[in-house]
Amino acid sequence: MKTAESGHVARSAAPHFYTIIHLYLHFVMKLVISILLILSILFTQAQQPPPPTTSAANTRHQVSGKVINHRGEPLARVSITLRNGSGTVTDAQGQFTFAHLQPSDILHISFVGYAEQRIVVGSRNNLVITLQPTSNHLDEVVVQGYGITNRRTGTGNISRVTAEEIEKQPVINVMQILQGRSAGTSITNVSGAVSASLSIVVRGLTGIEPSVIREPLYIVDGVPLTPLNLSPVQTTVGGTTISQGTIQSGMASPAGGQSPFFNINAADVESIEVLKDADATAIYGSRAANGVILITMKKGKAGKTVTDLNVYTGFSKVTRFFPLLNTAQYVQLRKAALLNDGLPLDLFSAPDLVAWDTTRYTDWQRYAFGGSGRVVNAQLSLTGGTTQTNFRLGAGYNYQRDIAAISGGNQRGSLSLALQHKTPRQKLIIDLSTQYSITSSNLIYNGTTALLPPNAPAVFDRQGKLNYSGWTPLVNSFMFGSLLQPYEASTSLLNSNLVLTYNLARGWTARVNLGYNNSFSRQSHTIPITSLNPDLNPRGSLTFGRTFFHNLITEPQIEYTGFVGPGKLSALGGGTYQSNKTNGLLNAGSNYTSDLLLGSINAAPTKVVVENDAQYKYTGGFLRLSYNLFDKYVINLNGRRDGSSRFGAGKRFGNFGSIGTAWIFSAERFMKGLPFVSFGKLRGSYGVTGSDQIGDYAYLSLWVFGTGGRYGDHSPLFPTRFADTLLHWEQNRKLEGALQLGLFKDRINLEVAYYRNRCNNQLISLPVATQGGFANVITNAPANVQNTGLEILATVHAIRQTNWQLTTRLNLSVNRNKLLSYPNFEQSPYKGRYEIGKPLNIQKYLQFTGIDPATGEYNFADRNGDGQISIDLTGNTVDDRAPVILAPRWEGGITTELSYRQWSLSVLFYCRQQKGFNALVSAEQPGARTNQPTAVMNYWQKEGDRTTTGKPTVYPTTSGTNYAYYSDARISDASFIRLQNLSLYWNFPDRTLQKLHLGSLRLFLQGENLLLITRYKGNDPEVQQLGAMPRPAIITAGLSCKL
Amino acid sequence: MTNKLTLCAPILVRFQCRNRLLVAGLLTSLIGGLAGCEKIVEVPLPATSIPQSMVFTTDQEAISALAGTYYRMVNSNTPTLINGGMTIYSALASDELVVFDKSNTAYLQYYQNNLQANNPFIAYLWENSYQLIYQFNAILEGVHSNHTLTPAIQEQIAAQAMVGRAFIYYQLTTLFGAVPYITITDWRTTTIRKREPVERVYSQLIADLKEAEQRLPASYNLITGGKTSFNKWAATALLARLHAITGNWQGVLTACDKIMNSGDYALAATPAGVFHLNSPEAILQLKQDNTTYSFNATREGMFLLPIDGLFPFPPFAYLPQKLLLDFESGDQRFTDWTQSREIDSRLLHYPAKYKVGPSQAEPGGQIQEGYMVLRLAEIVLLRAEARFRLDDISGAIDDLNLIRQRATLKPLPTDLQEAETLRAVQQERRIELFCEWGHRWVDLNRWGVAETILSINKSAPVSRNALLFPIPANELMSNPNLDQNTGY
Repeated sequence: MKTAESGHVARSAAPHFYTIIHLYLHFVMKLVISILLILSILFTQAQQPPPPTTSAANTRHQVSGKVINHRGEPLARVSITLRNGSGTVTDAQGQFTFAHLQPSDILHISFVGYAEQRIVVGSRNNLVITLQPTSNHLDEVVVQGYGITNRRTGTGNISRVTAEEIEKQPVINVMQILQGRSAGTSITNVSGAVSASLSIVVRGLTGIEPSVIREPLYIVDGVPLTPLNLSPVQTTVGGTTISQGTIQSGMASPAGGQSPFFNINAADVESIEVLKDADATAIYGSRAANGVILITMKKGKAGKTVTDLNVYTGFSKVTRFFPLLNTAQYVQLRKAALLNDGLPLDLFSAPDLVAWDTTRYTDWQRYAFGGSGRVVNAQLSLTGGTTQTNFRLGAGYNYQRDIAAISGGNQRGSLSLALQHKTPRQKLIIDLSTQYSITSSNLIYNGTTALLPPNAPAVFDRQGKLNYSGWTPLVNSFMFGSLLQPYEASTSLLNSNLVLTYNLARGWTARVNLGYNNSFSRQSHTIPITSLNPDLNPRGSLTFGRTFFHNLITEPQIEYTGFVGPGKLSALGGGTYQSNKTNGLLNAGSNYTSDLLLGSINAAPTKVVVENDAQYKYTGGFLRLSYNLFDKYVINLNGRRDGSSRFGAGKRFGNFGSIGTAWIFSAERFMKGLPFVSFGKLRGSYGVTGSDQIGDYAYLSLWVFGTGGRYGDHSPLFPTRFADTLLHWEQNRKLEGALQLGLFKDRINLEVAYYRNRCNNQLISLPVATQGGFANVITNAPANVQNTGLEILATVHAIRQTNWQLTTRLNLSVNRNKLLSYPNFEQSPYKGRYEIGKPLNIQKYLQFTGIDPATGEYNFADRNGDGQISIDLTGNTVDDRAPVILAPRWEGGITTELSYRQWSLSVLFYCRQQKGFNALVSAEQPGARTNQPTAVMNYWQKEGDRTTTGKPTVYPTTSGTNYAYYSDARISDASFIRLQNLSLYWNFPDRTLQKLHLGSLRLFLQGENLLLITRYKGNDPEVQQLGAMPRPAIITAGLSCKL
Repeated sequence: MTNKLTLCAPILVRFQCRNRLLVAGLLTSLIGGLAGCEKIVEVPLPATSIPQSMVFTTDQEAISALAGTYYRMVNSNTPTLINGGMTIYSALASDELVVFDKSNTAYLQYYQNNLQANNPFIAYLWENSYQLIYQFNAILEGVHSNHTLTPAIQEQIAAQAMVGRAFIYYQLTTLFGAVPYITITDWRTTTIRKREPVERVYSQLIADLKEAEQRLPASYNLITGGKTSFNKWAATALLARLHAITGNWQGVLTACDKIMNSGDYALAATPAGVFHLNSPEAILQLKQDNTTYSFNATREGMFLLPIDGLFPFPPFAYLPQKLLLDFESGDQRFTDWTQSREIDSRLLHYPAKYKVGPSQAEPGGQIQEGYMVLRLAEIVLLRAEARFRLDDISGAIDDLNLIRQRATLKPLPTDLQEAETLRAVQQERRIELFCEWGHRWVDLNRWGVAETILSINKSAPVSRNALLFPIPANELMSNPNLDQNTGY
């Protein structure tokens, strides 16, 4: 048995610094030479002042000036354009100079995030221009890969959620904010626990095989937040496997993993950008196939020091329960089933009716999730500084106790610091952004207790001990031992990024981004002897899990902005070096004979240690060239060459790139005839992005030592998998076209985008016949999966007055997915599962045709007419099943914000049209030893009965009831409209504030999931599982003030 | 490279400041380096695992790889082909066990000879068996391609792997008939192989076993810990089984004689002692890892013995009346190898060859019973059958009486008629080997009487097609070249 090599981390950390130095000396790549060449040529041109155009020289004069913002800070790289398209950009001090201008010349000053200005030169020769932050939706800053852009001239598709929206939702995991707010992004919580991993799918499923983790790339302030997926534990939700997140010890969590965003303080987040199309994502090249999500943290602001305090508290409660049988109904159904099956009412056929009290009643649904949870949130921040140095310091505390929790709950404490310093002449700018947080969560493994027989005995006996003996002979269905088996996880996360920006010359900037994050997580799960069945010789056990990951990223960049030829060029060249190490350690102690010893792993009679370890290295060079002609025509090129340690020698590098274009047709002369169209843009992009998400070392066949005991004196060695040495990059080709309109002075903004993504060379875990030795192999499958879709966004500023404001935002997305091609499909393992040309969410079900009034059996359509109902899972023989598509038809969100004087109200509805699994047909047939919806009481009793539920039976296979589970009787409408969020604010009037010496003071009420409109037959159309906890409603109240 | 730099120089000079030039040059070269250097993205191997190419470079790790196969054979919670599966599933499918809980459909399918191709246990049997075969193949490939191992050790590892592989293939064919016969590890080839006819598999196995028999010592010296690995006589015992199934009775006789004449084994004094750890009649007795829960018990013990307790838990399955009647009165084996429990005023007898069950299973518990794979009694009975087939009736009776004597039964007269002798051979195998490794299932099929006997003993028709288990549905889905057994 090999043990953990404690020196391992330290020893191999050193070489990569050598590697960097090595790099400096040895590798000057062709690509970069050419970048340099192009840039240098352009640079020289940009220095040329515009040539004199007309007439006498004495009317021309030199004009110089300075551009500053509303806080007096000089702005660098602001573009100042003349009517003919030529122009210049400001230098680091915000200064610019034109050699020859006429008094009639108009300067057009524009900068991302600020309202543009047009200034007639006149006779002045020294101008000070102050730019004001924009209020126009089109000109707002949108964060993009390695930079910022706006909606006016941007060529890509980026959706953005801001701090203002985040503030309104009392969620711990900031990613949950995206649901209903970001078109094309679907979010699913894996388990309902607040710390749980989230499934985030951008623009549809791309993987033919759900067992490979396919997640977007998450970047927090320039640093990827991506622990390596070492853990053999798998959680699958909605056709995708979800990363276990910050828990990679190999120890399962009752929550189903822990999201790294559980450790990100939502209140510190300035914005979340979801990068979707090729143009936006290709700069992240090889990691962008599944989309990119950029999380930008709040930064400091120059000016008076402002203290911001925000506190709220509230509770959560499940509001929907589905009617289940009471004891009398349950007993009646069970007896009917026994009678039908010709079984006696004895201890062996019906222990639940003979050994248990049949007059007892427990509402197990309310037992399971009838309690209430608590929410507390407190945030304090300080911002301020001078034009040279500014800062933001934030501290936060969150507490949320789950409804199903027994003790403790989830807590997060966090600190964040953002610091910016500029040298007096603004040559060097230093930005530091750091967040540190500690979280803890106490959980238990909950069994599906909601569906226990209603007459099941009490959980605890009179002595307060677990009632195992009371449950005999059905002790196996006693699932309450876990109540006394606490699970705890605590995690710390440090995320830090230092950006050094150096203004080389006018238009030229060099930048180095140094990012680091690390996380340490500890889990423990204790199983005391008292929690186990005393009849089974129980022994206690204690399991510890430890996960450590650290991730280092360096991204040197060089950027140029300037006027070249008739237009403006922005060029960015950069490189990435990333190294990630993740180590998971599991310590299991078992065989404790006394609960008193359970705190100490040293006291465990049997110990097992399992270590998982991986290192990932990633490198790449990227280039972006963006050319803007007259603010009418924009072309944007991205190129990237990336290498990943996840592939074998010779297969490591891949090339990715995109082209994006935009035509702002509203700037054309012919549009003057349509004055109500204030803005119009057509944009399109095409590109190739990639993915290497297959886990590490997949190209190697590895053997591991067994974690248990020995065989003889030998530590047993086992092979772990096949290896495909030919593994290479997966490719995702993305095409997008979009129309953007601003109507009536941008009061109405519309955006319609169409996309088509094709994912090829998929990296999957291909199921193979186990006769080879393993059930699957990680390889590139030839599957080509297409997602096409439409996203519609609208923002309407219906009322924009001083006292009254009404804004409505709507987003709607439709995604259609299909398996485009699969060479030699008939010979593939998927022929029984998918169909070429059909969606991946296809599932096949028998067609339920009703209950036979004569026999009470479930009848199904004999589609192939062979006289019998057959289910074939192999695709080889006859099959009576028909395909059903369970993906949402469309989904969308509508937010309305209304403010009147001191009041403001925001309402978010989220809706989805879909089919789903109802609660009426479950895996357990009516008559089995589980509770059922009351609807089954309409069961078949005698010949001639026309019913919706068949003849009750205790045997799942003796009748069609078992087949009912494989039929479309399970499927019904699961569409819904959810009042996702409602928040109401009241701001204290200015007079009161002055008296109190406060900058602002507001009181608020927030509600989450307050209303559900649905015809779904079951608890929750999003959860779609009777017995699982529906999404609770959360109501909070709080106040925030600024000092 | 230098040429290009010179070319760029005049352009670079346009940067007026030298520092700027330095910064820009450094950055761009760094960026360029990042975009093209293989070295940067090389990572050290994980400390927690060994690449296959390195496993077979040292004796110790090669032996560990072999130990891994034995470990895997005997340590699984769910029964596998080698770990209880042969016993439990084929006892249900033949006339040895009746499943108690009729709602447990996955087991009921075996008892009712109505197996479905998607039966979860079938899939597990199959998958686990081929995982072991892969490991044996990897070991064979590994030790043959590496020349750094000690030659004697290399030879013995290879020979044990060959026996192990043959052992699993033999068991697979008794359940499934034709199976894919795979002897390499390259997944692109192996995962799409067709099934090989049984006769061809058998001739391969016989060849392998003969070769291994030559190369293996009679001692158990490579893997420490008793008679826990394949030695020469294990290879010979398996050869005897293969000769029996292919009707080569001379071969069976020779093989059995070799083992019996070796003097290495002796019948245990009483039936009660047969399954004890280090039993004198054990030719191969796998040893569990008792550090984890329940592995001081065998799967037979865990599954077939009921739980003790205040409440009378029914046994998982019980012995059918017909089998109980087949025991002669006074048979010590009935006393030593069966137990009973009254459930709902019915007295149910269940097999208890192994005595450590769920109520005794505990992590770290003392191992009292080894998992008996090959034992002398079977060889004695095989020789009896071979002698009978080769017309040595008195010799056959002598062998049967060795077994009967231990069971405290009257010896049979040596002047039995041919039909009576055959019946005696069949009767003795039925009783001595009941609920053990599917001997009954294999015997009924081997004797060609399965259809009739099972239909009578189970009072329900058992079709010919049911005599082979179905190839698991998942396998057919993943490998389009596989075909299903008739009737599924």
